[in-house]
Amino acid sequence: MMKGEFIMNERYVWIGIILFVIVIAAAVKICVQISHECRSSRQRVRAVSGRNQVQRTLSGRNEAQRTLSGERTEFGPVNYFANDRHQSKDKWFQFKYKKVGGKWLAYIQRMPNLNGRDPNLHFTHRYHSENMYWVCYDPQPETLKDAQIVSKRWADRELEYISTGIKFEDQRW
Amino acid sequence: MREFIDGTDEQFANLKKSLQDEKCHVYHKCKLPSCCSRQMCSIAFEKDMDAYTLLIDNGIVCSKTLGGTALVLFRQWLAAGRIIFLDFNDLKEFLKSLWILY
Repeated sequence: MMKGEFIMNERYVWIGIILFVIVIAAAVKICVQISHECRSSRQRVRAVSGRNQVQRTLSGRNEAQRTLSGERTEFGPVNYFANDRHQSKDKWFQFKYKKVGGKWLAYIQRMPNLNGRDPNLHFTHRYHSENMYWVCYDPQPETLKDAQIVSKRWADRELEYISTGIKFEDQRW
Repeated sequence: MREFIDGTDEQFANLKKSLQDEKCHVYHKCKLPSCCSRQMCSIAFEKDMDAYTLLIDNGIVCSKTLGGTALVLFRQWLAAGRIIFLDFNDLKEFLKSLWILY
């Protein structure tokens, strides 16, 4: 082989090496990009099991009251927009549920203004003690789920009473 | 957050269905309105104890002062980091009412 041919061959080798490196680098970059996009799309909706993990991640607050055995004794505050049949401006109720003496009580933390309706506890089906009101229902619910159902029905009837003045017993649902 | 405000009935129905697994579903990089102290946040949905919970990052503040019930609830949500609704439709109604923030 002549010296000139040797130099030409070496040049082609170097060109080949450089092209090879460029191709490899491009392939790596494309793989990294695809991997990043896949990860982002998975994070967009990610199901995470366990309330505590979410609370640590997002809010860090834990307002669930429990006994030593882990049984829940409080839940809320919980919001409910009552069923409205009269285009009421305000239909927002807020409850906090507490287990007291084996029964779940629905404490009324917020309700619409009575707008001049008689606030009599009997008419409005409320109990009252120490600036706290809770839903009057007999028998008091023994489960949280039942307390939630009772409070929703109470709120619907309360809003109807506010809107029309018709007492609970005379309302038609 | 606009994606929730502008969400269709079908999208909310799908969301409600997905929440029946009682796991927490997190949406990252939600854009907040300009009245909030941060531009982006994470929002999560969860069904627990037969009620529906909305979770949001800590430390966000809203400077808007007029907005009725929707704004009051929004501020409570930001302050507590969570807001709970007895009915999913109420959660949907709350999110849609947040158009007042824009």
